[in-house]
Order: sequence, then C-alpha cells, then structure tokens
Amino acid sequence: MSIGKEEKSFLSLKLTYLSVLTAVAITIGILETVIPPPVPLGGFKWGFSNSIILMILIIMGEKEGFTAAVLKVVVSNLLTGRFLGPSFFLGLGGSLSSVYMMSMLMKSKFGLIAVSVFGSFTSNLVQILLAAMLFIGSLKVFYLSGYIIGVGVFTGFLNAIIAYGGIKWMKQIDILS
Amino acid sequence: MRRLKTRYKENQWVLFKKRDVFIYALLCFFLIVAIYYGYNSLNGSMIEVRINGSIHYRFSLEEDGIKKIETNGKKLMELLIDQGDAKIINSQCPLHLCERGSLKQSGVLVCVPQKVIITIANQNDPVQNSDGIDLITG
Repeated sequence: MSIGKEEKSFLSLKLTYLSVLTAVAITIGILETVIPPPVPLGGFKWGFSNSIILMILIIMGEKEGFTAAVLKVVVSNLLTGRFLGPSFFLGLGGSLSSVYMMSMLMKSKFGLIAVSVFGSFTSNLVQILLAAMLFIGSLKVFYLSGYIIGVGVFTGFLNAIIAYGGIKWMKQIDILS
Repeated sequence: MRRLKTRYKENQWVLFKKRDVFIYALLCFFLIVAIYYGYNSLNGSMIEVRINGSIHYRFSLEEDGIKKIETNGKKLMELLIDQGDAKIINSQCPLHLCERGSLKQSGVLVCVPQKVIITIANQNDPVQNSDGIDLITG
C-alpha cells in the first residue's frame, strides 16, 4: 500500500511530536525517581509525567497516549535499573489504567481538571491494588487510601494546569493549530 | 509551516465543566470512606507483622524496644517500638522508603521489596495464619 506525499509528511510530523513529548515524559519519570514519593511505598511515584501523557491524549488521541505511556514506563525503568522490578509493574499498571480512564472521560466531555484528577486517582488506586496483590499479599495496604486520594487530587490538578498551559503555549508559538 | 491539529477541539478541553461535579462527588465519597477506614486502622494495642501475606509476628505497642523481623533466618529489618508508636529501622531493602513515617501516622508500614506489611491490631483479633508459620509474640 502506497501513501501519498501529503499523508507521509503528516505522519512524520505526528511522529516527531509524539517522540519529543514522550522524551519529555520519560525525563520527568526519571527525575521523579530521585524525589521522595508522597506515599511511603516502594515503586510509588508522584506521577507528574502524566501531564505530558494528557497533552498527547488531547493533541493526538488514545492510541498515541497508550504508546507514550508504555514507552515512558519501559524506558525510564530501564534507565534507572528498575526494569521488571516492583516499580516497573506498579508503574505500568498505573499508567495504562490512567490513560484508559482519562481517554474515557475525555470522550465523555468532562473538564480537563476532572479528567486529570480522576486519572491520577485511578493510577494511584491501581498501583496500591497491584502492590497488595503481587507483592504484599494483604489488602491492609488500603489503609493508605486516604493518602492516595489526597495525592491524586493534588497531582491531577497540577497535571491538568501543566497540560492546558503547555498546549496553549504550543498554539501561541504556532507549532499547533 | 505545517502544524498538527489537536484531536479534540478547543471547547472540549476546557478546565472546568458543569458535569465535573459527578467526578468530584465520587472522589468525596471515596475520601470519606478512606478517612473512616484509615481512622479505624489506628485502634488497637498490638502490632501485627505480615510477611508475604501471613502473620509472622505480634508485638505489644506498650512494650518499648527494638524487635528483629526475619524470615528463614534472614534479617529483613528492625522495628523500633517507642511510646505507643513504631517505625522501621535498619531495613535491608535498597531504597529504605519503609523507614519514612511511623505506624501511628499512616496506620500501616509497608516494605514492597521485602513483602512486609505492619499494621495495628486488637489483642482479641483472630490470628489468620493459613501458612502454618510459627507466630512469634513479644
């Protein structure tokens, strides 16, 4: 199957945007590993790289969001030497569930802050659930759920503001229409 | 210059919409349940240590001291009990995240790499130890 010159140039442009944004998400993901986590639980992170995934969802859509989320978790864990460790599995589960939830809420036309806050909450909840099922073997880890919701609301709110500001800025400097 | 168009139109990604109230109401409900659940986790006079899902140790919160947590002869960490509170010290895990915070602060201490969870329990709570592992009390 041959694709036209116009479509080829559009695909290259899309790939460039996706690569750059994914690289930013990976960088934030790596930086987060040196910041103490909000909940005293190994593998748990703040989740600020979700702001970039949210931008990808708005600019490109669901498929690209999932691609970026998987790449972010795999590459950042490979580079920090945590590949296939608890952090990898918690991060993968959290990221994928968050992208799924955020894309569902985007389609249902909710506001960006609500989408992001619920995405962060879902990511945190899935991470705790995976920690309980795969590593701890006890649901008593859910005693931390108050922290999970608090952290989800805080990071989700900030992520929405960052994503909103980021896209506005990209439009302002004329690289997005 | 060619530009990429956003998939969602500008009016679809505004910060707030009226229907968001449902999301915030749901989060408030979860928060109330979490606070109630978390508050209940602070009641009790015993400390329960589970390794890989089964209870290995039970200590009194009233007896100050340092307790060794080990499994199959391998030391995992130490538990410092002091004035009705407890915290993990000298953990053998790589990141030592479990050493942050105390039992009375969060209601639970977790070490994911060592598969250890420490909670507060009542003296009368049944001991569900399905693995048949010796239970050590102190």
